Amino acid sequence: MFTAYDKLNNTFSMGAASFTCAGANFGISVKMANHTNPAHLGEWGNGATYLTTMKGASNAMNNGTLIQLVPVHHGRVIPFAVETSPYEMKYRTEYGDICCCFAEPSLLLIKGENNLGLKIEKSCGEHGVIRKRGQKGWELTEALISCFVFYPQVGEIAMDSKWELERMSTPLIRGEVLPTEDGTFEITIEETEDLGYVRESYPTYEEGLAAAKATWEEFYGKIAPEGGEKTADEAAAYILWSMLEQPSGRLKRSIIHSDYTHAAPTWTACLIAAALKNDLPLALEILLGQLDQQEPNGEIPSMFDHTNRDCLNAGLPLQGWALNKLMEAHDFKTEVPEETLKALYEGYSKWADWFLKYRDDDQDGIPQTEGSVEAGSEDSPIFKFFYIVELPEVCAYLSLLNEKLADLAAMLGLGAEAAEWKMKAAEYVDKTLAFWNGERFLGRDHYTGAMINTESLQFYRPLVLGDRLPEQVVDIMAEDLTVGNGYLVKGGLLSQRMTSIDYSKLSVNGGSILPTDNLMIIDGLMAAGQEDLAKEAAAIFLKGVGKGFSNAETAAAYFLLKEIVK
Amino acid sequence: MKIAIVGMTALLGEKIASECKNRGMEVTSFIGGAEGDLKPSKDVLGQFDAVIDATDWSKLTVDEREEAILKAEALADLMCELPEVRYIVTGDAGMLYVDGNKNRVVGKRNAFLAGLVQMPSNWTCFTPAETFLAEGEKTGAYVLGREIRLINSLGENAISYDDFVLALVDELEQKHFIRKKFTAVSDTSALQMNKELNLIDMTNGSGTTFKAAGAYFGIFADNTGKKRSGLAYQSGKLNIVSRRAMPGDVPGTNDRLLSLYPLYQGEQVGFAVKFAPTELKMVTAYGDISITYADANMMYIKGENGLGLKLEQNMKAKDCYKKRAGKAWEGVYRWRCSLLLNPLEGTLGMSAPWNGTTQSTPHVEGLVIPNADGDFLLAIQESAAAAMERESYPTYEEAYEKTTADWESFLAKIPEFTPELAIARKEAAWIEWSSLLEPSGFLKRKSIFMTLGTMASSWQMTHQAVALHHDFELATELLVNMIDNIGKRGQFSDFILDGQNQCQGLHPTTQGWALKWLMGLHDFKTEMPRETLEYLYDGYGQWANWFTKYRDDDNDGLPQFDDGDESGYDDASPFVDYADIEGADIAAYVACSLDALGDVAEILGRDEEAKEWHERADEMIKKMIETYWNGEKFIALRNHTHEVIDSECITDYMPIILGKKLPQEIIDKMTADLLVEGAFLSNVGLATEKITSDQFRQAGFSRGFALPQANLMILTGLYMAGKKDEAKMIATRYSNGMINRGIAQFMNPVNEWKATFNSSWVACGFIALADMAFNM
Repeated sequence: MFTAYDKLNNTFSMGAASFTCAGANFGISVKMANHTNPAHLGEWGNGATYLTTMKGASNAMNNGTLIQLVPVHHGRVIPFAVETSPYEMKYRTEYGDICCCFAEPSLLLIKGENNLGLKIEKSCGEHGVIRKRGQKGWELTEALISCFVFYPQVGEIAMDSKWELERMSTPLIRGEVLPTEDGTFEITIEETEDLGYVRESYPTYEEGLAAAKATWEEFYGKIAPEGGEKTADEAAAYILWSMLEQPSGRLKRSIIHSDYTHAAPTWTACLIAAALKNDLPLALEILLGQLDQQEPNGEIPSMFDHTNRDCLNAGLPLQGWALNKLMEAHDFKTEVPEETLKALYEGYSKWADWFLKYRDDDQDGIPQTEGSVEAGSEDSPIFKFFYIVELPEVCAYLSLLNEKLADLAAMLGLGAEAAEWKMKAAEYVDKTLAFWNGERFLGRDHYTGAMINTESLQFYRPLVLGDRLPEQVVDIMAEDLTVGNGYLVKGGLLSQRMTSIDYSKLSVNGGSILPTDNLMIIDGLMAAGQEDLAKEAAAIFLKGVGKGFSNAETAAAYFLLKEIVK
Repeated sequence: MKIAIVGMTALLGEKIASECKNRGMEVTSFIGGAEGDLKPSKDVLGQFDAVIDATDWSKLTVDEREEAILKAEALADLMCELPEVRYIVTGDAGMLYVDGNKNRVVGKRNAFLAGLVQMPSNWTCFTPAETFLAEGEKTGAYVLGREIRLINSLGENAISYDDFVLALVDELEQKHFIRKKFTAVSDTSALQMNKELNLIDMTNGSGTTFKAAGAYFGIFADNTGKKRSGLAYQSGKLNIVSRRAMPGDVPGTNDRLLSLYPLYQGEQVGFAVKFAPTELKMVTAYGDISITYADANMMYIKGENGLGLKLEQNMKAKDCYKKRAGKAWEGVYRWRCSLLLNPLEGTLGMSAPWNGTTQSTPHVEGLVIPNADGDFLLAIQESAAAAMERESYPTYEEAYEKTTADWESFLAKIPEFTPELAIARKEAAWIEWSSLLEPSGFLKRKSIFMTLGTMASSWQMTHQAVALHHDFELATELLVNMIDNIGKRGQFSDFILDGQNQCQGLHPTTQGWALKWLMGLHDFKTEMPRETLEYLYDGYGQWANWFTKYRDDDNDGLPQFDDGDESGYDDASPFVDYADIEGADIAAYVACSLDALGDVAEILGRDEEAKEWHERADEMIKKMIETYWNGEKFIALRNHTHEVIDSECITDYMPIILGKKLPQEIIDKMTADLLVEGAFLSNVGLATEKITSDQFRQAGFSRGFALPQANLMILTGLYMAGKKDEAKMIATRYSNGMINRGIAQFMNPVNEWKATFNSSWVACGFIALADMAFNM
């Protein structure tokens, strides 16, 4: 039996992540605001966990929480600790364990022993209903989110939920999973996009656990390099794995979120796709999924999920950077089907051209960035006074994109087009360098032409060009990024130089250590020949991350920067 | 009272005289000079209680005006010596102030009237409106003012002779304006409700959005002032609203975008709202601002006579306005839409200061300034993605003509009914037309809002298809659009909008009923493309099978609803105590669908499948009758326990949609029940709950109101069952309930009151039932 003094071996902390699996639209988590449950930290205590939705913008509708789950013993609420592994979660109590696993992305299995049970509780709004399903099951419908069928394979579910016509709902749901006489229970919770149903049969817990383990190990084997630190590797791989969402609604392919509560930004998905390079079909699926959302004029939205997409802000064109990383690891010509090459080429050609048609109002050949959402740097000091700006990094990304389009064109036998893309790629390098003032890269206000010099790390993003940049430019930037010069500190590169008047450690893009910037810039330093600095910075970042992965970008940066350190 | 009438306008004088006589006054007319031997001298006029100068200045020529001034001055001097005699002068509308600033008058100065106020006589100056109609309609009511030009509820400064006379003689009796000026306009409030003049009153809380077919944005009237006092053009604003569905939002909330205020010489001015199907006007004292659509994604706003327009909004975080190349500004409403404001004539100046903290332009204010000719034309493009200026733009007139042609083409396909229903027909047709949606997001084909610019539900599509079947191509789109988002196991969504697919709920499978009705009116084999028919057959088949497989939890072969929402009658009385009810209604819907699928299979030449569908339908009907028919009526049961739910709800009569598939005795019995006056049958159609029932309510949704879906389905069912006269009779009552009341969601069968918000659902019910009542 587990006691309050026992140690736990957690892959991840429930406070930072949720227990779910690749492709699932829901999971188990703790409610983050005002919770008093230390159990999520792997410690003993009281509290509650919740079924939560992982479906991006749908979280906005109900704070993500669907229904409360609390372990009980003979109906009495008891203290517990939560132990997590990538494919199984356990409520550890002094009476025994309640174990959870995902047999399939839509099917959660929960089993209990020794007269343990589960209390299920929820307050419903209007039209919120739990209703009997089949002979023994219960269905909870969450409008515009999902439906959940709770079915007892072993034991039963006693539900107290009175229907009130005037409120058109069962306002208070109080249920309990009751064990059989031998003290055990097994329930399934199945999530469906539309109305639920009871299957003719369900896998046993053991069967489900085996399937979950196998799915996990297949993914982990591809993602984690050999000989790594298992606990950190597992934690990082789990986050990536758990952020995958299977097709539903508007989605024709899987997408990968950055976190559980927002739509998936397209630019960070590029960074994450690069981290998944050892699973090339999955990485390409993520890139192709963005093209599914492409507007007819070529625009790729800044973020999207199964319900919606933000096509009023364009995403950063990091697809070239991602393709570059993938092409370094794979021979696209032999490993990627021609129709996929064609789809990538056609879609990204339109995307590349879109910038000069729709984001170059002053027709100077340098696309503008309209707001911080488009720049992926929402509270950056760059946008403190300026809204529409011209930034060197966009030219750098477009250079890489044009370069990769040249490569794809060559693979497809389109020689003339390849040459043209290559020329544009070179032009974009020049355009990037036009922002170099001899000492640093700056930005420019689109309306007035005023230069923007905020000492933001964002101005070092052109390092993605690696050795395409002149050596002296790289040297100067590298010097800036060396320890002691205000950017590289314990934990990694700060998003704002520490000595800057705009620095604030409370600001995300004005003082935090961001995995996205660290990844792009350190990787760029490496590509530019600054190997020692790159290794040093990567090591510092990795040490700072430890096992603290709460979003997919951090996990992606972890895996890619590990290769630099190696 | 003895009244003397003088002046130069015979007709006006006659009317004044007539009104005075009607009120028992003694009248002597001196119009044209002497009355017999009497000349209007001081001695003569001194014998009267009041002297009225009935000169309509607006009808005089220049020469006559000169003469009139001389005569008026002479009379005024004379009246100074008769201070005990009331002296009422007809004023000159040109002397009215244009607005409350009192620094501009409407027309030229009248020298005589300007001097009148200084005189010691017992004067009153009653100034008519600028439009002084000798043969104008008598409304029998007027709105009083003082020296500022008034506007009536139709946005006009106008008064008829008859209404002027009424006001004047009232003043004679009431004496409110001794030594004062006053004015009046005819009170047209009753006319405001006259739908011939103003098809839809945007300002009465009806929730109408002025928009063109297919558009996802429109104009909504907030706060245009419900007062009809006519003191001035009303203050207030119109709003551009978005009708895109946002995840996380209840449809219809958080949708106000820019507010619009008319300006004149930089100042906000009051306005009245005048509605026509393809043009909305803000009527001001200085001219009109007109709004129309060039296409579903572009609205035009045009101003004249120096009018300008203010646009204003407080923006949410991360929403902003930004300058585009050229003269345009783009509003980014994140996740929702983009509005591109492009001044095609005149200029647009925007103040949209950026706030780095909120990452938005928190307050935006735009001024549309007219060109040297006093005109402006603003194009507003709406899209779900980042906007771009177009290469060319039509003129306002071209845009208006195109949209009007589209509207008129749609209207032409709506059948005509009786003359009394002409206005209702037009109003219903407009609501339908404006509720149409172009494909976007989840919507792969045309769809149609259900009510208040929200929801586009699956079962409502079938009602709409039935109503709009004269445009069979459109009806077909509406029949199949739900199949585009069919669930993996065959479930149709509850409703689908561009940004929301609510498939975590459902509504009844009324597709079979719609097919049965429409197949009686159309030859599906020749009128529907085979590919579409196959698509329909496959989709509807999956949906019918879903019900038999997944909505029969007690495995008794009869489907259930899991709550009132699913039944379409949310708070209906069968659901008072329990949510999970199985009843004859759902069994009938499913049986009807199975049977209709058999018919479609026959058309497609799939005879074996046809046989199977028909057999399943017959089996379902047989079971329905055995289980729910108690010899007198259909009842419902609680699912699982089969506790009897014997309500008095109209849903128990839904099996009539099976028409002649039902035994005649059941048809006859149900018909007899439905024809009992004061039970279900009322003057406005069938109530959803028997009026005599304990559960009847004059509130809620389905606890008594006469609803379109219930009337539509049951009456078509009666018709298909051979009870044509009965069906037509009730359909006539329902249809006539729309006369002069607007197309509104709820009709109270007891007091025939109607809720005011507009609904395309009612519009389609009305169109279909009026067609049945008067054309079939």
